[in-house]
Order: sequence, then C-alpha cells, then structure tokens
Amino acid sequence: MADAATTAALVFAMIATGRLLGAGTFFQLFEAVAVSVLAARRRTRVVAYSGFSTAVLGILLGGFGPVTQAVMAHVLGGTTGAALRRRRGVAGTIGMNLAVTWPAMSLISVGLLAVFTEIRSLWFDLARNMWNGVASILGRIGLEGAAAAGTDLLETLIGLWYVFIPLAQIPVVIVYALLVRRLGGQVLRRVDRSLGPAGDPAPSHGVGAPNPLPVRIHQARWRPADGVPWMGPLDLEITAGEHLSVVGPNGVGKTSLLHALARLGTAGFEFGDGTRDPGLGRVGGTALIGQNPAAQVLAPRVSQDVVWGILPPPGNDEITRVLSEVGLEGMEDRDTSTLSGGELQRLAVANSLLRRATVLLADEATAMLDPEGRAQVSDLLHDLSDRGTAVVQSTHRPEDTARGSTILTLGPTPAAVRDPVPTVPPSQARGEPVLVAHDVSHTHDAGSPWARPALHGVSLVLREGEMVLVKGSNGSGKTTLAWILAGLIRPTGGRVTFAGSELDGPRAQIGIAFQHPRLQMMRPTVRAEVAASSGDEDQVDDALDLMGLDPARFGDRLVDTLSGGEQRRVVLAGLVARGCRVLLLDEPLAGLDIEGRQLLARLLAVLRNRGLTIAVVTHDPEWGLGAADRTIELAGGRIVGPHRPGASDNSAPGTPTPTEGVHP
Amino acid sequence: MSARVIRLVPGTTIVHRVTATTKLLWLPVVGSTVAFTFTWPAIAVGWAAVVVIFLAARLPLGVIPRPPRVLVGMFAVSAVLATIGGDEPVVFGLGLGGLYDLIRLVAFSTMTLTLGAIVGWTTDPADLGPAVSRILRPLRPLGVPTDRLGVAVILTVRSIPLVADELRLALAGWRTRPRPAGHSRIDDVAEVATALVVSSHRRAAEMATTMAARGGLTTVAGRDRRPGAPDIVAAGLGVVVVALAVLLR
Repeated sequence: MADAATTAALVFAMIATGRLLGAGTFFQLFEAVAVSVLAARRRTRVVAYSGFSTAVLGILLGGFGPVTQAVMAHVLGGTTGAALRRRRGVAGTIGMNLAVTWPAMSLISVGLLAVFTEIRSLWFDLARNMWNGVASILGRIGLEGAAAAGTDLLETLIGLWYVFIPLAQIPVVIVYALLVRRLGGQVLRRVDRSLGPAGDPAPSHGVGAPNPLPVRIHQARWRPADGVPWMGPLDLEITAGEHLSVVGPNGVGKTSLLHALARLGTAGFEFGDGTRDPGLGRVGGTALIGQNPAAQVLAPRVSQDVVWGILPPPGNDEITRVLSEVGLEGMEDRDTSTLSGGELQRLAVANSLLRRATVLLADEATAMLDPEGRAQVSDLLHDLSDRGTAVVQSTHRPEDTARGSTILTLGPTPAAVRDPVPTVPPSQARGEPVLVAHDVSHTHDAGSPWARPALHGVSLVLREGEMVLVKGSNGSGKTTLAWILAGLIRPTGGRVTFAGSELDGPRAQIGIAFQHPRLQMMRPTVRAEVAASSGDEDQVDDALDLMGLDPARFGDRLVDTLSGGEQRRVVLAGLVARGCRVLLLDEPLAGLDIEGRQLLARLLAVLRNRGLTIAVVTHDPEWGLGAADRTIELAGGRIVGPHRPGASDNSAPGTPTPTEGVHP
Repeated sequence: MSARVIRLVPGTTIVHRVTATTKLLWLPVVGSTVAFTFTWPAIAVGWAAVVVIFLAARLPLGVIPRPPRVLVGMFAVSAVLATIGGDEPVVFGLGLGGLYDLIRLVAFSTMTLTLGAIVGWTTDPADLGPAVSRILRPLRPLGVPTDRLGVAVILTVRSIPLVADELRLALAGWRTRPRPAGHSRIDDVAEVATALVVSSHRRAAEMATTMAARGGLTTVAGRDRRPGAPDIVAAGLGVVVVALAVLLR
C-alpha cells in the first residue's frame, strides 16, 4: 500500500511537471516505467490503488488530459510490469499489451470522441485546416499532386476515425510497451537488489488487550549482515518505567534488535524461549519510532496523523491534550510537510501516547535531528519513562544516553569524544578568493503567495585552500546559500562570482554534496557512479583511494548497499575525480557515528590541504572546529557574528571583494 | 514546480469553505458539460465562473504560473498553419475560421486547467482523502474498498511534497554532472527516473514499517467537515453554469 502511494505521488509529480514544461508525452513513458516497477513487485490490486489516487488528484490538474494520462500510465505500466513479474519475453509483453493496453486505450479515445461530438468535429476541422495550410505551401512549390492525395487520405481517415484511431494506436502501444519493458526492467533489478522483495510487515493481530510487559528476551543472537560474526547471546528484561539505552556504532544491529523486540521481521535473529507478543500498533501495546522523521508521519495534517490507526477515534479534547504534552500545542491543522524533523518525531510520540503504548521503541529517533530537536525528543522520551512507559532507545551517540537509566553497549566501546576531529592544523595559506557572494538575497517562490524570504544581503568570500564552516539552525538559509553558491539557484538579489566571472549556472568545478547522498548517485555500482560523476574513468581509483574506499573492495559494490558514510564518500570521490576546486557539503556528518565522523573530517582536512576550497554547511555544533579555518554563523538568513578572530579579514588590499556581514 | 499545483493559499473565503467533497464532484460535472456543448457561449460561461470563483477566493494574480515556452511555441506554429489553411469567415483576405477553432480549443482547455488549479489553491489537500471516502460511500455495499481508497489518497497527498523535494534534488544533482559524449536525452531522464523510483520504494518500505507500527490501515479519521451553506452556493453556481452552457447554443 505504501509503495502504491509513493508511486502515485511520483506519477502525479511527473504529470504535473510534464504539463508545466509542455512535455507530457515524453514524461508519459517514465510514468509508465514507475508503475511497471510497482506492478512487477505487487499484485494488480495495489496498482489499482495507485492509479485511482493519481486519477483523483489528476482532476485538480485540469480534467480529462491528466486523468486519462494517469489511467493510461497505469494500464500500460501495470500490464508491462505484470509481464516482467511473469518473466515474459518481448513477444509475451507485446501480446499482453495488445490484449489489455490497446483495447483500453482505444476504448478511452474512441469513447471520449464519440461522446464529445463537438470537440471531435473541432479536432477534425483543425486537422483539415492544418493540412490545408501545408497543402497550400505544397501547391505553391509545384506539388499539387501530393497535396491532393494528402487531402483525399485525410478525408478517408476522418470519415473512418473510429477504425483509424485504434489502428494507429497499435504501433504506439508496441513501441511504448517495449520501451517500458526495457527501462522498467533495469529499474526493477536495481530496486529488487537494494530492497529485496516487496512485502508489508504485518501488524500484530493478537486478541484481547496486549500485555507486553515485562519485555523479555533470552539468549538472543543476531547477525547484522551476512558474513559478519554473530552478536549475543543477550538476555534482557525491561519493566514499566525503565529507560534502556542501546548504544553502539552504526552496523551492529541496533535496528535489528529493536525490530525483533517489536516482532517486526526477525530475519537473522534467534530467540531463546520466554518471549511474549509485544502487541505492536495496538492500543496498550508497543509503539515504534524510526530514524527518518519524514517516514514516521503518514498523513498530510497533524490532526489526521495523530489519530492514525486508533479505534475508536479519540476525541478532540484528548488530541489537544496529547499535542500539548509533546509540545505541539495548537498545531492540529498544520500541514505535516512543513514540520521540522524534531516536530515530526514528537508527533509520532503523540500518536503512541494516544494509543497508550506501554512500550516505546525509539530506533535512532534523534539521529537526524538538529541539536534543539534532539534535546526535545530526548527529554520527551525521558518524561515518558518517568510516567511509567518502558522506553528502549537506540543511539550511536554515547552522549545521548546520559539520562537513560540503563545502558546496553553493543559492539566496540567508543571513546567518549566530544570533538570528533583529530587536530589537523588549520591551513595558514590564505589563497586567492575563489567563490564570492556579493550581497546575495533570495526569496523562494518570489512573486507568488508562497513567497518565503531565505537570505538577506549575505556576502561571503571563499578562498583557495580553506575550509569554512557555515553554521545555522533549521531555516537559517544555509542550504539555500549552498545551492546558490553551487549555481543551482539564481538569487533574487545580489550576485555570485566564481574565479572572477559571474556564476550563471552549475559549473563542473564547483561540486555540491547534498545531505541525502542517495539521490545524487545515479549509477548502480561505486565505480560506475564515480566515473559518471567525474566524466573521467582514469581518475576513479585514485579518487576512491583518497576517500578511503579501497577500489578493489568497493569498486563493484552496489551504491544502495553502502552505509550512509560510505555513500557520502562515494559522492565526494566523484567530485574530487571531476577536478572540483570548490566543495560545498550540506550536513556531511548527519547520522554518522563517531568513527564515521572522524574519518570524514580527516578526509576533508586532507582535501583542504591539497588546495581545495571547502564549505561545510551544518547545524551540528560539534562539527570539528579543529579542522575548519573559520566559522560563519547564519541566523534568519543573515550572517551573524562572531567569526574566529582574524577570519573576517577578507578584503586584502587591492582586491575588490566585499566584507562579510550584513549590508545596510 | 509541481509544488505550485496542489498547494493551499490560506484563506477563509467562501471558496475555501466549500468542502473538498463538493469540489471534487463539481469539477468533472461542469467540465464535462462545457466539453459536451463546446459552444463559444458555454466556454464564456465557464470562464465567467472561473473569474467569479477566482475573485471570491481572493487569490492574488501571483499564483498563476507562466505558460511553458514549448506550449506557446506550439500554439504559435499551429496558429500560423491554421491561418494559412484558412476557412470561413474571411477577414481582410485571411481565412480566420481555423484560428477561431484553435482559440476555442485553447480557451476551453485553459478554463478546465484554471478551474482545477483554483480548487487546488483553495482546498487543504489533507481533505481530499476523506472526501474520496465520502463520495464513494454509496459503493461500499458493492465491495468497493472505499476506506482503503481514501487512505491511498491520503498517503499519496502526504508523499507528494516529499517526492517534489526528491525530484528537485535529483534534477539538481544531475544538472551539476558532466554530460558524457553520446549520452542521449532519454538516457539522462532514465538516470533521474531510476534514482527517483528506487528512492520512492525505499521510502515506501519505511512508511510500511510505520504503518505496521501503527496497527496497519484503518479508517481515516480527522476533522470531519460536513457540507454547509458554502456548498449550497457552490451547487447553485454549478447548476447555473450547466444550465446556461446547455441553453445558450
């Protein structure tokens, strides 16, 4: 069901974009490709849910066109995907499409033209007219014969439209089916390889009130991945009001452990006896909150999400009370897509409060949050355990466990390091200005009712061979600034120069790494990705080596199977191999454990010392001050002090660069 | 870009207060009637309704996106061909019939487009799922899974801003990459599309876990807005538009 919704959303976005760009036909192919992957992994029923959702929303895109487009994408993609699922060859795929897609397409187009007679005769008049235009040109250049023959043919076709249109659609269906089969097959292999077969984890179906306490596991053993040693044996007993913190670096199986406690997929996990039904998702049972805040919330409005899955639906008073308990008072009508990560996680906690969960499993629930959100969510979890809920929280940050009553350490014990960067001396060289922002302002959606100012008069000089930290909380405009410096957004005010010339679009020498590396990697394997990103295959191995990724070990790995830190290093390797002079990194350390942070920070220092200019955008106050040459703080779209002493000394004599700071 | 289509412009006007249920029924009825009659007067009545609703909703002109250049170009080429082709009536030696037909078609399609867009700008998208369940309720005895369809719409609406962000990110990442020689446009789009599809299934897997952790799929609750006076006004306007479109031939 969830994949039906995400596919529907993707198809909808493509229809909308295609219409806005005036390239609907081109996008139609990829709409069908997206549906074919869903159809190959799921039953037809799920495809129908996706098609229905897209069609309903298509009404808002202007009627017949988008609705028909949505339906056709699902018929073509659904049929071709079913052929992929049944491993049909080319002939089988064409056959299934001629049996399903072609009649559907003909029925829709002939049916619509039969009902809307006026539009039909208008279309035909237009066709005659256009042809007359062409014919009169042909006539003038002495091709009267061709013009007359064309006119006769056109009249015959128009007279027999109900035959001609379906016939003309046969080759269209065949060509599209083959294209969708080829492209969809490629995408499907990648989805299957990185995610495994589709399947919805089943909710608990126990009878009677669940009684998950005490949570007890006995002689549990597990394996985080194939080919690594077994963990355990582990004995655990958690009673009401207890707060257990499970601490360990990424990849030791913290998620496996919590999912096993929830009986949510126990692959690679072995239990001894003495386990009881956690009653996952039931009133009075177990609640689970995961790492990615956006995925913890299912409905577009706060008041819809907070009651999701609770029967009978709680009353308004109860909703108001619970929202204020988690610090979201008065937000009932807020659009969940406008909430910050911390607010999303607290909303998920509110849902567990409404279902009176007796056990709350928080799986790295604070890992992706900024410091403020992390503190709020941690405090909230602690309050819950004080009030009698059994809380199990996993984290890779030992400092987050300070308030946990019990600590369970998995894997090697990490040293308690606050500043994760070993001291690398700041580069003394103050090179030439490379990338300069002159009084840059930006408003998103300027001129529309949704206009949001993001930056106000920001001036900034990035010099060769320096590493600059741009710090700021959520909404400070730091990501917008990075996009502008990368040439991806044209600022609504001010200008950016790169190596002295105006920056009017992305440049190969300015590399940007987004917070989520996955969407930036478009090729299946590490080597192919770095080669494609750099455009130079000869540099791949050196760049991988430089990023601490052994080419022999990592070259042929699938990018989707790498850890977050490894994925970031692959993206960086691509940028380095491309020969970027400037690297703009958005939250490069988010979600990494201490070891991963230290490694990445050290690698960045090495790049800096090789003369690259690096700007790191982060909300993380712990980001290695030892490695950065200076720090700039952004708040509310403006640069605020203080800078590291001497760092604001940007305007070397004779260079026409502006001083950093807010312009009057 | 796509984020400009179904995006609420906050307000409390009568248009905002018409329930999503009424709006979802109103649009196809009015659109089909005008499409069926397809006379100049019918299209004019439709446009009159557009203007009235737009003004009543107090929408700023800034909401309207600029038409894409490709479409403007296609229109220009078609217009030239249609004029050369000529047809009755002839004005100053030019047959303008073809051009009239073309303009009529454009006038109609921009009308339905604008009507849909106005609904998008004045309706909280969160209301669409419950509205769908409500509209389909009479079909429940026939075994139509009305609640599940409503949930599907809710989950889709929830996913659209996330997909729009990913689309923006994937396109941005792709724009910064060098384009290898011999790479066709279809290869380019295929790369971006692959990244998006893989990512949408990964997010779906996370959402599925969340759903299981919340007891699976259940009825869609949330603010249950019943049709009221604004809906009666909207229905009245719909009847007037339909009647005029049919009568003014």
